[in-house]
Amino acid sequence: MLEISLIEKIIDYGVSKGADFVEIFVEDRFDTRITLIDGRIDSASSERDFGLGLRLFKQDQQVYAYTNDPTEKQLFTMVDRLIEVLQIKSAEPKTVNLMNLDVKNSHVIVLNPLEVSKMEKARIMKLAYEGAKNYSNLISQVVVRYWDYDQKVFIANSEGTMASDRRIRTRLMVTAVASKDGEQESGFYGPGASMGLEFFNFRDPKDIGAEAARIADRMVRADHAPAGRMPVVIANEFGGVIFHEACGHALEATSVAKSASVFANKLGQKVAADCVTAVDDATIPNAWGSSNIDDEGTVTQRNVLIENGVLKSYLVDKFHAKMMNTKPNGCGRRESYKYIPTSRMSNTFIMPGKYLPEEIISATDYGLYAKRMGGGSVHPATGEFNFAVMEGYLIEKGRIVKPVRGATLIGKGIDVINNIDMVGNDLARGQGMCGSISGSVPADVGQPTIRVKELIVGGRKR
Amino acid sequence: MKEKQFAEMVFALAKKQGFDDCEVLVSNHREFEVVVSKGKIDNYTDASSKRATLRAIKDRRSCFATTEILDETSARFLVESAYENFMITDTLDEDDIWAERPTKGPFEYEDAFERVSVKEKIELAKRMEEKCLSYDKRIQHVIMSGYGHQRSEIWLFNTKGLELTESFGYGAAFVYLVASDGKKPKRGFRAMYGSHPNEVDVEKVALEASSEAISQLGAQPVKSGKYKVLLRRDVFAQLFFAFSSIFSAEAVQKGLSPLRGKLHQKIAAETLSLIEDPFFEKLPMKRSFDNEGVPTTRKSFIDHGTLTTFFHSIKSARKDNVKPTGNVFSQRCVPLNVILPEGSLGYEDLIESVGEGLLVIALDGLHSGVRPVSGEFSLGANGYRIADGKIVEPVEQFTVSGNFLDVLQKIELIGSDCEIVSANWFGPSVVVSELDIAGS
Repeated sequence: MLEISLIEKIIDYGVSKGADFVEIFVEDRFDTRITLIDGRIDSASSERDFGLGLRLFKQDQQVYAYTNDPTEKQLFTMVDRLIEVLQIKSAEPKTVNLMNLDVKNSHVIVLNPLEVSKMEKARIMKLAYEGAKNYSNLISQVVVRYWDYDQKVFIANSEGTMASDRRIRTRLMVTAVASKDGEQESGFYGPGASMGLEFFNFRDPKDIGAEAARIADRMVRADHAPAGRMPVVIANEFGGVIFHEACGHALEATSVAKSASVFANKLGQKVAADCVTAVDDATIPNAWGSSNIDDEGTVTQRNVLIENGVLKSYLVDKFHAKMMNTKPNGCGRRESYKYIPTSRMSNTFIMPGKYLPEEIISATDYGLYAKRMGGGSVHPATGEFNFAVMEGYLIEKGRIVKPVRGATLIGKGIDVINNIDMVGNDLARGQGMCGSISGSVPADVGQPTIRVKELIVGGRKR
Repeated sequence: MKEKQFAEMVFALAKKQGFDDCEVLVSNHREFEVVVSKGKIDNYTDASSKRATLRAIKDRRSCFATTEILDETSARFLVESAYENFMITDTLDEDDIWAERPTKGPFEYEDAFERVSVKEKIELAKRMEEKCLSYDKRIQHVIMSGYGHQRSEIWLFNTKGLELTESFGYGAAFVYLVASDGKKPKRGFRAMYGSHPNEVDVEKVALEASSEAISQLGAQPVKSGKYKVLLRRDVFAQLFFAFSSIFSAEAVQKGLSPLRGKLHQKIAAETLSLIEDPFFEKLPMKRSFDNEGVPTTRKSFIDHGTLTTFFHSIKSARKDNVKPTGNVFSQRCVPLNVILPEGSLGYEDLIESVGEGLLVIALDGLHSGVRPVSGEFSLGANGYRIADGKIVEPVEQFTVSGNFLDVLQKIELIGSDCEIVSANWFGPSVVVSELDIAGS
């Protein structure tokens, strides 16, 4: 790690040269990735990343540089180059006193992955393999991916903040392939948490494997999904990707500050159906998307985004907070020191409502039941989103009648959250990686079972 | 520490640890990017980073470790963690270290974009934004107007005496903007790639992104049904890359590709050939060896509709008893540059030949709406309706679904409108005789 005195010197140098804000982000990280195919460990890799990112603001412009050779000489050169870009002429000597931010660790780790043998990790993977392989005789292949990491971050800035955090995460991802009559379909399940290996005391690896296999087994027997507009019931857990894509990204300051979001200038206004309350909460103990501080050194918090249909808050990072004349709310995130942080989601979910999931299905005359969702994406400026249904069923006369496959759901964000007409009581969260301009970050999505009155289902049956 | 010195230190430690052979790949990456919005610098990155990856072999099993710090402690970390990884690896697939030198190359990429001053590059990004905004009053926001370039230099050392070095990179300009007629906003995106600033025409980028967004205003819904579809050159390239993993021999061997059992069979229309050309003059990236040190080669992997080869790593090649194809880049087996040779009709003629159908100019959800295991896809799309051989109106909110292998078979016409549409694809637009469309 770098000497604090050097960090102070660099920050002082930046502000003395006329920058409004100087930030140093240091990251030291170890990753372990292991892949098992067909019951055997196919490859294993270990990775160590280390680097420093330097960011400067001047009025409403921001510039960034990074290196993994952070010598004193290199750092001064980086500041000089960035100052030149900002075309700052005036300068006066200034000093900043760095104060350590006292952060409580809410995400206690019991079994640090770095201290657990790889043999143990391989054993867990083989259990997941067995869980999948033994699920059904249609399972033709199983790929198990194990991933853990230990990321130490240190942030110091010219506001005097000095903070550090350690994020340890563990995830097991299983892809099962089912084959039948010359056709193949796959199922995926990949839970994870801000935990060490104790995660597997809560989640049985065999069950994780079996869930991936169950999806593949159902889908290989399924017919093509119907095409066109229809009601869609979306199950809980990873189903929450609908809010994440349809709405969450458009609430990020990155889009809002430029008025390039359909939700810009709508605080306090009704933007969603009354039954929709949505939250982004990075403070949930040991959740996949949680952290004690964000990647800008701001303590994380629970942000209510939409309450009973009314827009309450955006997700705001430091740079855009200035433009929006507001305060950052702990969501400045980045994949690594190679990215400029920006406003991102952490654990985002729709709050539970009053219906039992079965009631929602019974109340639907015809439509699609999306039991397991794949990923999705969105264009925040136009609100156009899409996401894939990994496991779908056709609903007829209030009953699930048959499995259907291959459907993507598309729509526009603001229409969808206005068209949610039933919200269940079975809130659960699922884990994913969210990709955006500041890289790929771990994020939980979540919701109870919900019904959307109308969505376009991209199937092939008319 | 110098690359070679570091590699030798790792080799000595690896030998002591009991590894039979090993390889160290060091890369030095440099990147620059400026993005402006509303005339201000919104994002600016000026960076360099280093990375060393060890691939070590014992008893014909390979294992990996990577570090971003090149010092003695890291050399130990690489060897020790690789050994731990070896201890759990129990695959029966044998790996090896390559010994043969490539006959071509090495390619050297001198980043001509570095010679353009930072100030000029910022000006170029600003000029693109201004061009867009002055194109039409309905261009509401330029979300990103960017200019950037990157260069990587790699060194490969192994205990079989191979010592190779090469550099590669490219520059690009891109614009992402939104137009609005007060009713529905529509987006426009354009990127242009090249190995020299002369090849990156910022005016053209601005013009094309702007005109695309404007021409999408007032987009109408589409009726669900089966349509003849013209996939614009960049869209066909995107669809291919979403499925490029199915051509990896390893995916085929493990039963994860629908191409299993299809080698030397007809998998595409007779008129379709796809060539992997790591030396293609027009594309910026050129490589003479892959990340395992294997020489790259030019090959028609689909030749007049017939699948002629899969992409092989050393490991998958040993299993199939063939030669590795030089396609391992960042631990995946993929084509470096893909060329789709031109057909006879120009873009306008393609539209005319469609008669009644759709022109697709953008696909969404390429990371989630595709299933490489089966070849199935269902993706959000934007485009235009074609009637009577002409574009009649913009269309939106529809999905395109099908099977990738089916699309290859149903390619009816190939255009002559070849362009560089990404850093590693050169090709024209294609007409697919029938695809499933879901809309209203």
